[in-house]
Amino acid sequence: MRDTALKKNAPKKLALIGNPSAGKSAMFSQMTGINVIISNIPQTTVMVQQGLTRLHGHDVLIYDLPGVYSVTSVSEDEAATKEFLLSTPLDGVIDIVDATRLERNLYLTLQLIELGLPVVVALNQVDLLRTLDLDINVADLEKQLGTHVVPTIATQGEGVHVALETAYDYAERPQEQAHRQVSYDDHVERALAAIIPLLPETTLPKRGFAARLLEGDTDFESRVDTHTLSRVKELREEVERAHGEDVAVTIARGRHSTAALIATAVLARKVHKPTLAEKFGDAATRPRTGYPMLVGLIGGMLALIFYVGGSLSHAITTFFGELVFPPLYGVVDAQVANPFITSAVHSTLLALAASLAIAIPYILLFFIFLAVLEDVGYLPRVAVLLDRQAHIIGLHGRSLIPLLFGYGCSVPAIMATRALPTKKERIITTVLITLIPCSARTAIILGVAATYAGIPYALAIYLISFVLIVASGRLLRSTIPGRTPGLVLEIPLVRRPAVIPILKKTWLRMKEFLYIAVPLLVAGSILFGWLELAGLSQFIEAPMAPITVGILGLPAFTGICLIYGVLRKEMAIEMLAIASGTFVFSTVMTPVQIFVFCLVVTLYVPCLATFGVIARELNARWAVGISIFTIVLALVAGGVAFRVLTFVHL
Amino acid sequence: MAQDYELSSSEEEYLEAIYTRQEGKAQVATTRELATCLGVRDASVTEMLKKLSEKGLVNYTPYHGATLTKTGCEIATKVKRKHRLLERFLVDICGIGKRESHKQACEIEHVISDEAIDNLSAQLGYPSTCPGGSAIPASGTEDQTPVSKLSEVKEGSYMIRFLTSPEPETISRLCSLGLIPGLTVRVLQTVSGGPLIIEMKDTQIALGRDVADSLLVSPEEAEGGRRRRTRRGAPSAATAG
Repeated sequence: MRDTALKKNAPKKLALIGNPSAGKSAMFSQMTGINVIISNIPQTTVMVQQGLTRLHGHDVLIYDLPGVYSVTSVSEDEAATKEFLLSTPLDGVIDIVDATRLERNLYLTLQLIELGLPVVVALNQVDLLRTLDLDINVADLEKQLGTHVVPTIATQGEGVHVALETAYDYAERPQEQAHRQVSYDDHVERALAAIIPLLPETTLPKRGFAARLLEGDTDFESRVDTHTLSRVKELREEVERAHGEDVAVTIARGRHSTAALIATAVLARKVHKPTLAEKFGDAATRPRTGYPMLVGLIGGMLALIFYVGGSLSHAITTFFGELVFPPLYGVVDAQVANPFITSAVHSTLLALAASLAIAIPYILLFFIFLAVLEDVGYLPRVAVLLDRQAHIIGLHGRSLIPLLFGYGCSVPAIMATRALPTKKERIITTVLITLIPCSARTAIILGVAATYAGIPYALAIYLISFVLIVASGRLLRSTIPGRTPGLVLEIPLVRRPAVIPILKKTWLRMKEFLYIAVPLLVAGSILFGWLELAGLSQFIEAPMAPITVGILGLPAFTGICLIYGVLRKEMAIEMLAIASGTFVFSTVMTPVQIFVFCLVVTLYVPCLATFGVIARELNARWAVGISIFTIVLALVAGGVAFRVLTFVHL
Repeated sequence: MAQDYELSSSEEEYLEAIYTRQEGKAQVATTRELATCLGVRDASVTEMLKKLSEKGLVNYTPYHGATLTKTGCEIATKVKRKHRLLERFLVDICGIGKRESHKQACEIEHVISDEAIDNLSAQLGYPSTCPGGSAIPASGTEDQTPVSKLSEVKEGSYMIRFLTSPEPETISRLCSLGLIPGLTVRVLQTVSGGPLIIEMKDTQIALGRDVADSLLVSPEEAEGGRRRRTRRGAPSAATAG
């Protein structure tokens, strides 16, 4: 059927598909070694990713499709997935079925089988069945579906290779196709029987084709002539008259009932008592327990990062500043005469120390914390808890997941907005993400403002950013046209966080920082050292002075820091350390200056990477617009704060 | 069969008027009364009653008055039901005044289909009275189980009866998750103003209030047989007289 024999040398093409949070990304990274960030959040994979692996000496190309509940829906993700499945000649499709939610996941499986795709089922998360007092008879499930079923635990790599091999072998022997048919209601069956003789010859199974036509799938309607189409329309009306409901609902019912029959046949249940994890999950969404939990977690996280991170940061800077640098400087200064080279060495060391002092204590800790919350399944519960509050800023709870990601890093957060169903929500969420203090900004707020100006100043920055987020949200809600459909969000099981996946995820996120930010910072630091040496630095500081000194009341050397902050936010303070020549900022700036500086850095322009991702996800005009908006916001907020605080202190 | 009667609007109006008289415990609707009620001449009433009598819809005794036959009563009940439900709709949903709603209901009642009125009744939550307080006759074809919006129920088990949303995307999303009429769901958590959490097919799903509004449900007994699936909208076959 599928034309694979002709292309012996072409790599086999396999696709991974499944419901959101069924474990596709984990499976994908196990199969290909590509490190996709895996999270316990519906809708993390928002575009088709591909990776290459080798099996029996052949290349195998693997596509990771977005998580979908079905391939019929009108939503963007599902339309993209359907388009991909229909237009790409695939040798195999690995359908990742969440074993803990078997019946619901089988709906998609049945749709895939109906489309004639070479489906192999990976029954994932089988390890969780026991905690839920469930048991699935895999052999029975294979018989029921008429296809191979491989139990897997994707996060641990168990069964993944078997699933891959099974799909591969299946692709080699495509004749083996005896699949479960969906049994529809009598009216639908009669309509299908009437449609099937009218269909043109295609590679698609006729029954599935007919069902798609009957439910009014436009992708299939374009494949038949107008005569067939008008006949289908008549039949559709007949079914709708008999059932008094949309035919799509009747057909969906057929698929769901078949899925229910299969699930009942293979699933054994024992009496289940709610586990501690389930009670925790339940408490997280109830206002009475959920709000204190949220406040406690965020407060605890900030305190942890501030105290633990702060002392780590202090230890790192002391270690370098007192133990490592002096002897190194001594050696270099004694050996090298060229001041530009000694300056470069000094700058490099300073930049490395600054990166370590920021990255490890603040950003690393934050990422670990975020990864734990993600893997436990806490974030969707926050989305539920705060859905009502999200309405105030024109959003629904689902936008809170990208927004919470925004506390980590704006770039993946903005990418995660693709899972939102409307353009309006995507725009509002993107704009608000740029105002959220990301981990880099948290490093600035906690590492500089809280440490050198005082904790109240740090809290004030959070408060101001929060107020601005709410105000901007309200403004956008009323200016951007369109309405947004309400929340429909699957709540994942609460899972015990596993150490390895969390460390892996954290490393992936840190890697970007180490590979991109550190070299940039070293280069910037060397350049700055040379400018100082050549006496040129005032050419940067002078034109910035009206803003830095005039509007914001900051020392002139902060000008270059603000420019660096555009590249990456945390570089603003690393450069501050370099430009001022000390880590102890309180010796060169007043608390008010530190506060204003941190406030401005928190608010002004999204960093370069964020700008790029906004331009890609929305468009360049939005990226420019958001930058201008945030600069104005930062200057106004900073200018006002400077004047008010100076006035108060007088 | 009653559905074979092709009645004009005015014929239906007459049946309705007689029905109203009988509803008010009057044994017989006199020609005089009908003429006043419908604002026509006595002669026209006499002529129409003769015609309806020939069709087997009324029992007409000259100089005395008319009563409805069984079939006539069925048709009249149906028209009255349409009238009162339409009034409810016009007053509650469209925000139109009672007097005006009566006038418009008089027009629409003759053209709206049985299926449409049954669905309207469901959407309105099966109201039992019209805005004026008169009882809305039940339909022989509709399922009388009381339904409420999922957003308004307490925690417990419910069966989904109808899916109604102006947004096809919402319907489609609910369908692909399996939230379709006939499914039993358990409401785990409902917080006023906030989203609900329901459990279905071993999955917990959070639904915003507005989404939950589009699911009409009826309470499900703790244990019990699968209820009959109702076929709404099937052409109703009233018995011939």
